[in-house]
Amino acid sequence: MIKKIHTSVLFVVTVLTISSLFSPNLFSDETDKKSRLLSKLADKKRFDETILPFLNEFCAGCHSETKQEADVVFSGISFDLASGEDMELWKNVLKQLHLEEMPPAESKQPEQYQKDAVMLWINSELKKSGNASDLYTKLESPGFGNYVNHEKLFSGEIRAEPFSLARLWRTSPRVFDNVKSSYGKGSKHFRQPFLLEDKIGIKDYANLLFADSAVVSVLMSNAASAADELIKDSAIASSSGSPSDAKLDSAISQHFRKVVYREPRKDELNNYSILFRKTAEEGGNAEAMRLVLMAVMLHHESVYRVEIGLGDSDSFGRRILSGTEMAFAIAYALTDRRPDATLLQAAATGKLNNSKDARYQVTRMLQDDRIEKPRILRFFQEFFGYAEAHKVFKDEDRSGGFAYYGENYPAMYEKDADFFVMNILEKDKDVFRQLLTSDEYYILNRATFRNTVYDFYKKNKRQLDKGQLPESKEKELLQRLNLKGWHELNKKYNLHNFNKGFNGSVAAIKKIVDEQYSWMNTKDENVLLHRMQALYKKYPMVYDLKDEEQDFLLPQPYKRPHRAGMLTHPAWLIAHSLNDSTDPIRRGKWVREHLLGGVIPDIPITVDASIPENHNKTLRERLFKTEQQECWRCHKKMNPLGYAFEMYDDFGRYRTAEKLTKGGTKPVNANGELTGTGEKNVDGDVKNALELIHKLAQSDKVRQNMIRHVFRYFMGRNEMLTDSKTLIAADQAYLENGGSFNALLISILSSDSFLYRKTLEPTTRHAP
Amino acid sequence: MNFTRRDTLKSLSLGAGSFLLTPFLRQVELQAAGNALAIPNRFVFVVKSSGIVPDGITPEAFKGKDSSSSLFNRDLTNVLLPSSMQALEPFKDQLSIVQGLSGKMCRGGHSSWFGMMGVYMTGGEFDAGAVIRATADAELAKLNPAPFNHVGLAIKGKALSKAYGGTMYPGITAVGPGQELPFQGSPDIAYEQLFGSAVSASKRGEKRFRLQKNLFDFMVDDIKKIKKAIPSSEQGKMDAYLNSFEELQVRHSKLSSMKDQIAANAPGYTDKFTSTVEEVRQEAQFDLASASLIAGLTNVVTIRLDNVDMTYKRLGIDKHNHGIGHNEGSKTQDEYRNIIRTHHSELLAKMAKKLRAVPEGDGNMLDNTMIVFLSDSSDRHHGSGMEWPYVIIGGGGGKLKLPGRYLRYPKYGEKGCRTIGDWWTTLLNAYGNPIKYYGNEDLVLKQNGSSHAGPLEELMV
Repeated sequence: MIKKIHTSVLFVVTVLTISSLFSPNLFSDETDKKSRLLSKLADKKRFDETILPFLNEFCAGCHSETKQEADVVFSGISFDLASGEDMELWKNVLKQLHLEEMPPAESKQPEQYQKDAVMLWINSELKKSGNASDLYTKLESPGFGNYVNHEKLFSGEIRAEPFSLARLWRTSPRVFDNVKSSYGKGSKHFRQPFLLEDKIGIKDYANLLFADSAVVSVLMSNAASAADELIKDSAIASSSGSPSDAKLDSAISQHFRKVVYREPRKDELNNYSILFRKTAEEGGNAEAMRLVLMAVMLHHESVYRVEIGLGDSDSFGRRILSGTEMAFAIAYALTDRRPDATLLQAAATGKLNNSKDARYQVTRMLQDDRIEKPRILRFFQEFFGYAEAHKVFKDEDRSGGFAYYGENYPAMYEKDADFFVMNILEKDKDVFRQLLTSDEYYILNRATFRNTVYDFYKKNKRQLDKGQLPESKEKELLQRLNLKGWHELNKKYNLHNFNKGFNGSVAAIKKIVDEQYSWMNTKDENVLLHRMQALYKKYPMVYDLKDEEQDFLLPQPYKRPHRAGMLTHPAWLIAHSLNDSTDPIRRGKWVREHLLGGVIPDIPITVDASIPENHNKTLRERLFKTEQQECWRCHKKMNPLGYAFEMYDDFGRYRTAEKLTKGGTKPVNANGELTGTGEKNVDGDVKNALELIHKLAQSDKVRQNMIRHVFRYFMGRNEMLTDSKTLIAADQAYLENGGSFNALLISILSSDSFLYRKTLEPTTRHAP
Repeated sequence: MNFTRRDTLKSLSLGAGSFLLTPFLRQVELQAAGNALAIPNRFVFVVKSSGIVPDGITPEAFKGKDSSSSLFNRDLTNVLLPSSMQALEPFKDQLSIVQGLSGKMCRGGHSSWFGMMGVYMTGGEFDAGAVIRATADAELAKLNPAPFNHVGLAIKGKALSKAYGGTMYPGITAVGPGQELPFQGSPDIAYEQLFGSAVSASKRGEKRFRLQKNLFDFMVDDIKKIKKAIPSSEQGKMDAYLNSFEELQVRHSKLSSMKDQIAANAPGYTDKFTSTVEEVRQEAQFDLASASLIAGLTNVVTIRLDNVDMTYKRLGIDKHNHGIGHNEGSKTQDEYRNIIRTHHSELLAKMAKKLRAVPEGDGNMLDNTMIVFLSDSSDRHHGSGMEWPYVIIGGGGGKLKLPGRYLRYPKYGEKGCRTIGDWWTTLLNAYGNPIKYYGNEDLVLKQNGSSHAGPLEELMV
């Protein structure tokens, strides 16, 4: 309560202060004030007639003075939201109703129109009090996408024509990295302005990212350092007389094209020119040019990409993206770069106007493996969350040799997982099932590449010593390294800087051979081929291999027992673990939300989420606390899935017994239960993670849920029911093409959801 | 700014997880409404490289006293400081020495990078690694906003870097996840950035400050015009952008209104600010730090005092800090360290003296300031993390039972041992952030059951 009052005081102060600092025209006039005062009166009539009876009928059974379940009581709740009373409680009611969490399924259910009336009243009262529920913002985050009903989405009953809302999407940090050189020499001092939140899951989401003051402060200093360099070469800056309009326009246009990537409009040029003339008068040409260059660099289009839908409108009230908008949308969906020449050419010549054109371009880009498409692998990194393993610090002593100095083991396991994904994507067959079930892992480190090249040399020594390397042999080496060409080398391998330029030539091979000899200081073939640096000795342990059991030589993969796909990959298991233990609850939550499309409410603030200490019990036994009735309502959605992964320790090693904290062991219990697919042959008890995963991989619902996540990532937003047609078509494209991820992508990136825009008023976006 | 826009921004910020109102703007608002905060808390963090050897800062009287199993807590005011710290004798009533706190959750070696004030393991030999959270100095800056919320001044950059001057990223302070605080490595540029709004070494600086208003005004007008073409459902995003430039306008006008105050307290511009002699540059940065605090430009300064690559030639030293750490050179490591410590003590004393000369409330500015002298590699050249010594000068507003005390915590792993996570938690708690525990816990201590993970109770008032 104290906090609430504090907020509203601050709010009033904000308005007062700003009014004293800024010009008066920014402020609401008299009439506005009056209407605000009037509207502040709470709507008690509706409360008495509609809201109170609703609460009495559907809520009071459990939340009354006599039966205060979850400490929630509605008797005597204040209708006067504007006074700040019971605000949190009302917000909670709104959320529970909207997300259909209350009343619980086993209780009497209100009709939709009754719920709508309550939600409408709460929203309007909140608005009067100058507050808003964070619910609607939250609903736009990836974690809330599952609230859109799965069965409806895939039922085929929805005939609406799909679209995205007209939108702004903040520049991605990777695009920024790739375009910054066009800002000139000063860009070497640039810092990243467009940071993404450091969390597991899809990060780059259009509706969640803003250019706020933290972004602007970095943009300002970047622009200043770029401008400082640019004015050194500017003829206008070094002249003293007033430049002609033509000269000034041309200088500004040149800079504008480089950073905003289009021709400036007449009015834009005019505004910059006014800024220049005004500033030049006060401070001279150099300072004026500096400010104008900065202003161009701060242009809103280098901060937000604008996807309004500038193409033709159709009879459904939608507008298609213009050619240029489409070129950018496709480029940014697949790459971290601006559109390539072919895309721009198509846009300029009217060949990028419809779904067929988009399909042609996306197919072209997917087929050309010279075009880097880092966004595809990044989807799998963010979806599975395995690329966060290096952030979970594990104790070196407890692990029996995890290394963090020099090279960081978990970061290397992530690269192994990347390799696993990339190879499945290259085959492009039955992709989701393969990702979930394949037991063929790649176990690599920097020595893998060198040792393999050395091995290749030994096997072809005669020819190579003569300086010969026939094409067929080069192909053989590429194949062993799982490469289509040398341009892929650094995409797949994390090499030492001095090996990064390797090009498969005889000289390059011999350089590596010489390095092997000089570093190992031996001619012992066995050592040269198989010995790892001491640093890597313990590396294979998470794959249940002994120190000396494998030599990392390519070709790989290694078939590993007791494993099935990404969810049993050490990188995933580490990323989804705690510092000193496994994490059945969050693992279960991950499976529930990412594969089964389930929803799990936030942990209630009244719950103490700590696990009781007990040196004689396994973690699972200690988690028994969560199986109490009031916890189990939510935990039953997570624990039975997460427990199945107890067959691995928190480093990802297979185990049959769990070490207790103060010595001793107990047998692992990895029994679990799969619920929620609604498919008879899938739901049911499982004896461990392997059985769980193989069942998941058979499920239609699991496949469709993965597709929903692909949609979210590439669209940068959550699906709506109106996206039904797009999702069904995507699912069909995937199935009809033998589980091809490319086919799925082509379908999504040429869908109406991707290509059409509609403008809706914010109030009609979510409000019931 | 209209009512609705604030409203929208507020609801947006809930979901976006970003602060759309900077702390500074919030403070300006409070002050304008007559709710001026009481005297601000001020902090200076002085970060040296190559470790602070605990023995070197221990008064003779307290040496050899066993403290392995219990806290050793003594009055410092009636014992003699080590001779290398003599310059600090006049400030002994406001001096404290804290030893024995461990930091094994941070990286050892040449630098713990952000670990020292962020309490986690990060980085490698040359690379500062990931920024996972705001470091404690930055957290304190957020609690004590000012026109320049957090000033970073550097003499050198990253631990082993040869980089010199200009904007630097030494990898020690972060304002948030993924966001490093930029440090200014050139005193002349720092002078212009901090004091340029009122006085300037060059005419250009003053002019630039004045003209900058044109840019802010242009951006605000421009974005307002564009907003009309943006669908109303997306206006919040443009509002966030617009709001940021309006904030810059506010800061600009605030600095303009402080002109006299800033001019009166700006250090006289001498060739000190363009010197290439390291010891002189240190002096210049210290002068800037003191003057910025006194002028009210900032409440928190972090100074990167030196790095492993730097050589104290002016002090007659012939080896860089790295060489000294590896026992090279004509003198012993202890002898070198004594010379350098004497110099550092003088720098600190000079700053303390300046702050003490400014009356404030019932006392002076030093009463409300905390100068924390610490190292980025704990107890020695290749830090072990076994203990992380601190020397603190200033009354800190009376929020901690520190002034005039000497404290040595039990050895690592012993009962009652505490960590630097507990130390920063103490500071944050004392100055307004009631966080339960700041940073990563020491997992080994946790497993042994000897981790307290909370504020140091004996220091809390």
